[in-house]
Amino acid sequence: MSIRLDLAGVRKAFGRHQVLDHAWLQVRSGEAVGLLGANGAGKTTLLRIAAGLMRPDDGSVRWPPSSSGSMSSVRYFGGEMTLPPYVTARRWAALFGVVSAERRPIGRLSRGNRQTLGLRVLLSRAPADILLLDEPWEGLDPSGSKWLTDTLRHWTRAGAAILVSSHRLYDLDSVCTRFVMLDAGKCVPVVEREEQPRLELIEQAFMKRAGR
Amino acid sequence: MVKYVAIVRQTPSYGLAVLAGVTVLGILTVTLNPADLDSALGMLLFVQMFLASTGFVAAARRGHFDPVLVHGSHRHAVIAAQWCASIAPGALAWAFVAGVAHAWSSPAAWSALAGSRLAALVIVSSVAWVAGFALPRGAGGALWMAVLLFLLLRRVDLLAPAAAPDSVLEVLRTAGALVVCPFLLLGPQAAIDIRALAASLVVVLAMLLTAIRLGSRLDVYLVEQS
Repeated sequence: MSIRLDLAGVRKAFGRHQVLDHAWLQVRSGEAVGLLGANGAGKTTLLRIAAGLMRPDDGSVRWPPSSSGSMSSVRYFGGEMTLPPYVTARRWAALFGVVSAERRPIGRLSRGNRQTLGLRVLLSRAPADILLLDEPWEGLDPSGSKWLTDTLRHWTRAGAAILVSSHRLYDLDSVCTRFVMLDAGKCVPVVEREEQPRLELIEQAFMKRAGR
Repeated sequence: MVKYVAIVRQTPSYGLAVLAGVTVLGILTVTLNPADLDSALGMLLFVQMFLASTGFVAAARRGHFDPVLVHGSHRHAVIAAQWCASIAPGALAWAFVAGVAHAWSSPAAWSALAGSRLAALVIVSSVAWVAGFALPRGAGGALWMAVLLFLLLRRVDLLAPAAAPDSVLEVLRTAGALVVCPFLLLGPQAAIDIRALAASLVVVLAMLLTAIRLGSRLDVYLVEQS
């Protein structure tokens, strides 16, 4: 599997607060990586740097081109609050070639419906090379969660490199092939062991790193 | 990209309503008295000061441009497209009013379509957008208006254009006055020195390019919407 996303020694600080401190992470095609971390650990910052929306103070982010030499396609969703509230859901969906019957402005939809709209618009099209999702299960009902999980599995099978952050460990576990924990600005791999159920392992890793 | 910034519209409905009202008023003014085009254009310039100040950074940091800014490429194009979308409603209204004035044989109509009056629109559209680049929507216009009021009340001498500037310094001072107060271009055209007008347009272009350049290096972190 080829490397599709390569973050090397990424550092990022906001004022005196060092959010990322030599974070290294690679995501390969056909791989879904779960990004764990306590609130404020820097998951959103890491994802936005990986999406090219923010620049690291030091280190680099690369999206190596595919074997055909074409530039990698990157898709990112930062959550329902990033959708423009005054645009109607229908027009927003149409921008990306997706059909929606909802005529209300996005700001008048419920939080769950906004999240669903954003994800459907992002995921309904043909899979991209790299998919970056920030807390995608937030606000989704059980059927929406199932749809998202199934869709992400489909994307992984199609060869996409997925990096997804979430506090919903069960959902992450159902999609991801490996996990990294953001701790003190570094990406620490969550080591898998055969004898221990994976969900239990990532819960333990999270509790330990979060200091609870 | 152009379609994206046009749909993720930069001008709020109330702004468009005010612009429509001012446009209708401007057309009435011109049809009743074709020589009074400057009154209509002055109103449009005033509205454009606020409409063009759309606040690119604030919208970007709410994530509204994430789909087109992702990957970090084409940033210059996104910001330039956002400038176009920001000034488009006011520019269309201007063209409409000037077109009507031309049809009614207004003596100033040609200047509004291709002369120094059009320069006033270019200056207002660009400076308002640049002034509001990192501010909330409309704040750039409000800030500019505050500066103008201050100068009018305390240092009106700085806003007086020299009819025939005899030194480079005078040309630059006049150009500065035109940039700060483009309404001066709606007055008697003979009073405006062409070198000062050209210099003011160069200054405005430099401001625009600087904003686009700075914006392309912008860190688009997320700020929660209130």
